[in-house]
Amino acid sequence: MRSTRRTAELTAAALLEIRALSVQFSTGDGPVYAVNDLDLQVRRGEVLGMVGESGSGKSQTWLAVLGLLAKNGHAEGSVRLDGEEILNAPSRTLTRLRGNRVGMIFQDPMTAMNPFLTVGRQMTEVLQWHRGLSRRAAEARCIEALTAVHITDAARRLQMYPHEFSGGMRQRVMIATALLTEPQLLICDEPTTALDVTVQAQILALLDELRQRHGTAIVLITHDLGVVAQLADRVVVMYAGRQVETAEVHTLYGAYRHPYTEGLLRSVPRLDEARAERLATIPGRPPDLAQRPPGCPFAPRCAYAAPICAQQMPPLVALGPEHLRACHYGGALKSEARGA
Amino acid sequence: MIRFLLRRLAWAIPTLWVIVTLSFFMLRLAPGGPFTEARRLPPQVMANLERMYHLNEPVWEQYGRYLEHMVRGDFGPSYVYRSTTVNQLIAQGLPVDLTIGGLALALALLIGMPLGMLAALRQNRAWDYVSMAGAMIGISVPTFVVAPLLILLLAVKAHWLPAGGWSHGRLSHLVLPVAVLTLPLLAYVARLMRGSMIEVLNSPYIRTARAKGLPERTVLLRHALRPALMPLISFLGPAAVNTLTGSIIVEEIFGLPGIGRFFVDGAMNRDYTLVMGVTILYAVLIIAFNLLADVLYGVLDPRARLS
Repeated sequence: MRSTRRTAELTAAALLEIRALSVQFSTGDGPVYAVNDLDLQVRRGEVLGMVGESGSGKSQTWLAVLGLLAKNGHAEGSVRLDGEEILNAPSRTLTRLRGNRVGMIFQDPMTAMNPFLTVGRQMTEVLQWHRGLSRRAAEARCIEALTAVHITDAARRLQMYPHEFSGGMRQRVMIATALLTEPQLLICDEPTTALDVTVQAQILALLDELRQRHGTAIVLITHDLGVVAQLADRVVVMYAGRQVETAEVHTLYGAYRHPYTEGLLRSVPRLDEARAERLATIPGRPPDLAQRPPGCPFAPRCAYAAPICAQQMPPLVALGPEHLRACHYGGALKSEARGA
Repeated sequence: MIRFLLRRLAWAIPTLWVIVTLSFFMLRLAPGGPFTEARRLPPQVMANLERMYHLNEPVWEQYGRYLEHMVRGDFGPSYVYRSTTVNQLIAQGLPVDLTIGGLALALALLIGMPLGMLAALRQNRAWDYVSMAGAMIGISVPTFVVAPLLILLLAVKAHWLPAGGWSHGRLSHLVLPVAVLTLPLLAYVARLMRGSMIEVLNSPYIRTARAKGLPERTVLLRHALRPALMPLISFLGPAAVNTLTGSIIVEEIFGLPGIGRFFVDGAMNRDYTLVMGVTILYAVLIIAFNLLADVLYGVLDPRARLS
């Protein structure tokens, strides 16, 4: 699905630039550090994968970017969209930006649509608000948009309610809605997690088709490495609110350099290998986000950890033109010889 | 929708019949009768009375007679309020309760809903704490404490309002009883509204609405309000009936000629027909308001429209 031809075009200036982003939540038990000191770029037209386990900060990063954090959340740092600072911008700026220049779709299309409003109402309101279209003109555009995501009989379906749609159709509606305003960036938070495998493949094919046709940049937040492999140009691996490794997708799968990435990739079940041994797992527990250890957050679970790992945070270092890693360990990873 | 209504109305008839039958026989099982008083009547007088009211007949015959009259809308003569029918008693008393209860309901909704919404939007801030503390007081302090207090302050000390009486529903006579009835109801509505609003505002589809860049007032009015009203509707069905059929405490304290006292007086005096009358009235209202709630559910929530 990924075209190598496009890689050259990606060198253009960043569409979105995140600098030193930190997200905290204040809770009854003290602060929880969800994202720590994150630097990241999204380039025009690229698909950026964000992978990590639950609580790695991959979703909160993007909710913070759009000002959609829960009430007890707080973000610091800088986020620039086309050079314009948008982090913690006034709500008037954000409401003009969200659903207009930056779209976002969510994990569970069952609960992400309002059950009390027709699909048409939930689509047309976007165009009425952002584009000032009349209801009728907006409806005509929505019919086109639904047809573009391969929903047939769109005019009739606009009158229907979300519960009359299947899960896959609802996610198509969500995507069509997010694309109504032709955003420069579409953030997809686990877009296929709640769907069964065949529907998942259809949605991924649809996302790929859309970015090819419109050149929309897509951020794909997921814990599913298979999804990332299919669609992403570059991948950011997150752990405990930190970026641990970033690389172009083939580099990441073929020549990963971080022990956590190794753990993630080795714990994916494979059908093309004999079931000689048990599926690899990462030992230990996910990190406690209420703590901010001085060293590498992965150190307690890391097979390669040295004394320095627990004391000093490894800096994010460039290993190649598109390859960044935050790790003290300099030797070879155990599975590298295998050539994943 | 029409088929749903017809089916529900058809079900109301057997439901009512069960209620009527159960109450009829349970009343007869209670010891004593309408004319067994502390001061015993001469046997001849007693026999005459029982013959006049058909109480000397077998119970099943009385039951048949009662059903027959009931179907025609005649609830019979009261045994205790002599030479008055139950129909007359209810027709005189009910308007008092409908006026006071209706006003209290309307006020509780008009004030309680915005109050609860505001508390939800200012969650965990001063306004939220103050209004919810007030609501807690409104719910937990009983009417028989609030009513005398208000009478003492506003009627006895300040002379602003009359301490009681009905006076054909003069506005000044309505203020205190309506206020006393409104208070706990309003508190309940506000708390319910706050809770459901907070829940709805945390739901994924509200996040979607915000992610679409909609202004906050659209998010609230178009996306959040309707779902947040649903718990209120379930609560209002029975609550409205209780409020509209009068409260014996409020009626006693303010000396109002409503029907709330009949529920207790009738039972104490074994005034069979009066108890039956108010029971049936209550049951009919409960059935009607629950049906209304279900219809409203269907109107508001498209998912409830199918079956």
